[in-house]
Amino acid sequence: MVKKIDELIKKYEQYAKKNGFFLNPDRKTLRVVVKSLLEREKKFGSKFCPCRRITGVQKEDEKIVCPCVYHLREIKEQGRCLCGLFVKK
Amino acid sequence: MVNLTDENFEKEISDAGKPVLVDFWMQGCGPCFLLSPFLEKLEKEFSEKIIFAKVNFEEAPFVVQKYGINAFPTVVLFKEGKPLSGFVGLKPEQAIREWLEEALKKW
Repeated sequence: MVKKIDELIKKYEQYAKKNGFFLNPDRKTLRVVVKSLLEREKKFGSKFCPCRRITGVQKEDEKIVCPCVYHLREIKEQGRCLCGLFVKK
Repeated sequence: MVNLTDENFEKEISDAGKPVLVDFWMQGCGPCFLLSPFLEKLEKEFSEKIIFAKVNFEEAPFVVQKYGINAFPTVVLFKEGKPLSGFVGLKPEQAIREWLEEALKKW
């Protein structure tokens, strides 16, 4: 699990860099969120945001696969995505 | 913290006699897990003024639907059974403390 968490952090780090934002500098929060994402992937088949409810409606649930459709707006407006994985600075 | 479900939610928040802070959380939600110790600490500080309660999404689907909660953690402060203020997502302990102090000043 530790290796998988590290790998996914690296992947999200590259994604954040490419899009002009950052990963949460609080390593504890970061690892907890990434671990939750991996647990959801194992349980439900996709990396659904661990802070949002899975509805069972595929079209709706696709929107909350991380990075979700809301994260860019949330980072822009609130400085971080809901789960605190990505931050503006 | 008081555990609320669909069965006892309305009664507990209406009959509390003081404001009730409700932490809506979900299993597997990392930020919910991180928020919990902040609220437990604040519960001790505000014990005379506010009742702290928790709602597990899976144990209270009707309540969650009624209040339109789709994101977790969501924290709502109720007074006399009505939601008055709240926030969604993880916040630092100090920010929550300041939010509670502000809310209490208004009442």
